[in-house]
Amino acid sequence: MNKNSYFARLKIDIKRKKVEYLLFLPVLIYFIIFCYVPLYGIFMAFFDYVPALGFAGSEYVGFQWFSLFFDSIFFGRIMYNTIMLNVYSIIFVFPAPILFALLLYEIKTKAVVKTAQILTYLPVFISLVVVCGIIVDFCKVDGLISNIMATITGEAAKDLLDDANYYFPIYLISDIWQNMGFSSIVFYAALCRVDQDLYDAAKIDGAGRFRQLISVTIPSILPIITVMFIIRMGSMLNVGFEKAYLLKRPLNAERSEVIATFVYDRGLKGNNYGYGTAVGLFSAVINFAFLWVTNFFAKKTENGLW
Amino acid sequence: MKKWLRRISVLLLSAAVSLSVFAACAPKNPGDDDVDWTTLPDIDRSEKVTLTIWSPLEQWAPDSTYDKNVIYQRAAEELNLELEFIHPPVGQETDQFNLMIVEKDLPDIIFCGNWYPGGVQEGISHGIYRNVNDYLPKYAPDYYRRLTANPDILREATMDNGDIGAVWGFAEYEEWCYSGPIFNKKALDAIGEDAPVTIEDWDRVLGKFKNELGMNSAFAIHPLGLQYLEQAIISAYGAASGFIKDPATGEVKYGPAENGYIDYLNLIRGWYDKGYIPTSFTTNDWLTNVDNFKAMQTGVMFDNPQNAAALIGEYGKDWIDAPYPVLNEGDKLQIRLKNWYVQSNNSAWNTCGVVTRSCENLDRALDFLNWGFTDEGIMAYNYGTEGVTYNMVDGEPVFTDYLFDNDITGTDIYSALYRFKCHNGIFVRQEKTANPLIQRYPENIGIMERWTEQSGTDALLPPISYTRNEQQVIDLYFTDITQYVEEQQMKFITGQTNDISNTAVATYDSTFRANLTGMGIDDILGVVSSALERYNERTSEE
Amino acid sequence: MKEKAKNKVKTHKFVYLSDLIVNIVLSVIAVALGLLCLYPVIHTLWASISDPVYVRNNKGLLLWPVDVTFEGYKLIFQNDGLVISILNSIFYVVFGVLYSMVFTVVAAYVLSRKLMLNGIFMKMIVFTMFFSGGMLPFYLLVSNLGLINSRWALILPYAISPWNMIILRTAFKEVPAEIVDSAELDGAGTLRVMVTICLPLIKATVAIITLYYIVGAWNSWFPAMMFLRDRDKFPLQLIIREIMILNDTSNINIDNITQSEEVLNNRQLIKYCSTIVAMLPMLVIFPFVQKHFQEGVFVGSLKA
Repeated sequence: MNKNSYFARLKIDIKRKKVEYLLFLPVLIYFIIFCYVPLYGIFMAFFDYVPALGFAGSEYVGFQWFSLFFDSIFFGRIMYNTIMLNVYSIIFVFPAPILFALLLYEIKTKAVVKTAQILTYLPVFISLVVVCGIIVDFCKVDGLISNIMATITGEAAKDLLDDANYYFPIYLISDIWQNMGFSSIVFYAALCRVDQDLYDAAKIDGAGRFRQLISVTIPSILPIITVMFIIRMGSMLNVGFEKAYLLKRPLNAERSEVIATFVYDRGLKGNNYGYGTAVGLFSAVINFAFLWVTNFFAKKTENGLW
Repeated sequence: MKKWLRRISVLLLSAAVSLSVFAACAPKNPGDDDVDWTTLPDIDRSEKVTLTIWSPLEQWAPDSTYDKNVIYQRAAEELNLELEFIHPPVGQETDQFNLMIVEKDLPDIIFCGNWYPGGVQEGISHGIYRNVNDYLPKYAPDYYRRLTANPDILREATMDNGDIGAVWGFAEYEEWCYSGPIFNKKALDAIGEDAPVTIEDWDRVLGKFKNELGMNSAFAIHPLGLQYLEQAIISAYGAASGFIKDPATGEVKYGPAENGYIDYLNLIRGWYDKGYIPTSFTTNDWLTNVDNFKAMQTGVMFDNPQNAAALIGEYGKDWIDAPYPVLNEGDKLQIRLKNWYVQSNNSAWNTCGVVTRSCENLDRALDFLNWGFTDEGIMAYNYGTEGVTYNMVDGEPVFTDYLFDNDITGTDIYSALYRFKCHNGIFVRQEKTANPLIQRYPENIGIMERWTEQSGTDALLPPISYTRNEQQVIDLYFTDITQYVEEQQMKFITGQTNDISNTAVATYDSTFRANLTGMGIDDILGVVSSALERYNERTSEE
Repeated sequence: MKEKAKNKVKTHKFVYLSDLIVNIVLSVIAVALGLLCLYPVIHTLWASISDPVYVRNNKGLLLWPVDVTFEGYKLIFQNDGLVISILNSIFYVVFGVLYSMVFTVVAAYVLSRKLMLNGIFMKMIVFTMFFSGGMLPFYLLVSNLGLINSRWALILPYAISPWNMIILRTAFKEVPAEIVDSAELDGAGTLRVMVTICLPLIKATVAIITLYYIVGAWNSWFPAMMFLRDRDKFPLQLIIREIMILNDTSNINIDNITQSEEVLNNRQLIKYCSTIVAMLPMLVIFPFVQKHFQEGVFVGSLKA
């Protein structure tokens, strides 16, 4: 009974919104071809996959790759590093563009805003190879940042990248530096979309600047913040390979080794597709779970993804 | 309109799925396994045939392609071929190889066949490469003749099953140990010492460098790490950074698990504490090391004499070679840098020529690969063009200044080496005479010969090959071990340890070994041992 | 308090002193942050025209170029692949972004309306953000579609970035329902509503997403590495990567030969120069796009 009424309603919906459904069809086809068809590769996670032999000729190994991954003595620390780097990133890196956008929004001098935006937008274009080169230079034994830290802590100058304790701050601060400006653009635009009438009404009600911020500005950009946050939560086990690989050293590996670098050295260099896929699948499942849970709560404020 | 779209999408879908999944059921060329070469027809060079060759581009090759290399052009002309080189973008060679190898249509020849996971052997058993073993006597007679002339070389080039699956570039004589300790001669003179011989000498000399001359980085380590000391110093203790075998019993051992290893670490740590090794050693650029050397801030670095001669100054005045240090005077080392006849490890480029299943002209492909082993080909690849890049003087090739002359070549010497002759490739390497830089600095020959004579190589593992499964075991388990060792090593040397405090050497040692055992080093040793056994039993069929 | 000449840009009038102070403080902070972001770029710029030996041994700030030399740029442009690759990149950006924007706008609009299947569609799309079959099946698919070594391999498989689409969808959702309804009542079809009514209202977001796609397309090199074989189809970033890696001075001396000191020093220089070349077009573009998303704050359009 329920099913019939669902399909009945669906038919009506499609009839009424024919154009919309039609418009969406190419999008659907695109996703099916380029995203869903290759999905069969996920099964490589359960095989000792040899491309030359295909699935037919490759040996089925069940969960072998997963247990190999969990069994490594480094498993604990790579999970810790991956997750904690993400947690700290959500606490420190995620809000930075929002705060910066709010800052810019409150500045009334257009010229300043424009300049600040152009300047902060620059670093996102510097390739990671160069960014890491700059980081290495500044953190060398007598580099700029090392000297500053030496003055602050009173210790002898040392290479900051050789100390695992410094790794998280270096990674996160350089992330903020590189991405804050560019990421703030979308929030700034959202701020510009806020209906000025709301501000006027608030002013009439006697709200001061700060009060306006809390009651008008932030609620108005809450939808976009929520959406970005949900998506961000869906990257809990993702730490980009390239930057980690470029900054990683034996002396900071305690904190710098993450899932991506680990898998690369063990599976992908030797072209073990099964292993790489298995770990990727593991990460994807956990990430998707995080996203689902976050979206569940967001739906309560009507800002869910679906 | 919707129906039409749906049909197309279904078509595409099923095509994509079925092709992808079953694409790889390519037949494994079983016809190659039992060919009587005497019945094969002769090579017919009358028709011009195009051969596509996949090869990683050496970093310093000019023109971004080998199509313009003078020697390859000559080979093409002589053998009536058209050679088309395909190069992956620099830096992405292995990624591109892995993608290229799963395509339906492969290039005819690959110059780095050894990159296939599991080696040439797996490549053949999976049907990617042709098994050229039976065709060699007919189509690559010079290669076959030269290779089988020396059983040691032959063993390095044969697969574990006895077949010769690829055309390997090799050397016909033992090559030099080309890298070792280079000392700052001016500094040695200033402290009144000769080049040190024993570890004790080193300790004393470094101490004087630091204390009397005020050097801030007396001992310069290659930026890629301690591993690049070419096993100097560590070999004095009977250990190494990787696998070694006992010269007497043939038993495979893991260097860091040996007793001497901890003594070695302790020595380096002492040098670090005393300031002979700078704290910046983890990031010192190679060029910085050279700068320091010239500025009298560095007393010793590890390098090849060509670099020293070109960049530092005069031999005997600015720099001088020193032997690999030994523990006690009169000790004979059994571990050093060695170039094997056949270079089959993954960091060797363009040394392994394989013919793929897509090649329709196996005979012509082998003919081309064989050219590097003909008398003419050997001279061409190694020396270039007679009368232009070299002249024969008393029966020996002598380089002219052509390659050095920027005005003629348009590039510097390093790049010129790749356009007018070949530095690496599939031919008989003649390292001792084919490097114009060595010819320019003949005193380097003495240096490299000294290093070569000084140590035996009985403790080194020959170029064994792993099966695919063994390779996976190594990738998955052994990488953990090497990573652990590398981290512990660095932490111990710089004074940080797991506890970020000074641990007594003995405690460090026992924890270290316990962890190695816990990580399965014994199983790994078992894998390596069986690979070694298979290697030793290699012979060639007929 | 501050009034500029009447024919210049209208400046904000500060009513309260506190507002002015806040404005100044915030401005200082913003500019300071900007300068912090700028410094490494300036450092790279100066390093690209300074004496490489000085740069290598200099540990501190590089505030001015030292011993100006344009050798690095000369050497880079000698690489004939470079100029062609810039043209290639422009091609990929223009067509890629056009293609992406059409798909993304349509997808975002439909998903912002109340369709019954939207829940499923969204889940489907978000799912693809996480789960993928990996590089190999994707490569085989593109290969089976005959796109290997074709320029279209860099465009066709990359129609929609779900991230961008979701942002655009959020913006579409913010268009007040009354506006859409009143347009539909006037008889406008779906396409008409989307293009003539909604799109203009979210111009700022559209500009930003376009910018995101432009930046993404410009910076992309991995698809090119995977799918292209002919060097004359390579985009700029792939060439730049090559240059970077070729000139990485940490892996010299693996082989038994050497280069001259001049060549070795130039390698460092080339790295900096190639970074600047890779960045330049994006820097130039930004001010043009910027004016589109600063274009005026949204005032309620339901009055009058």
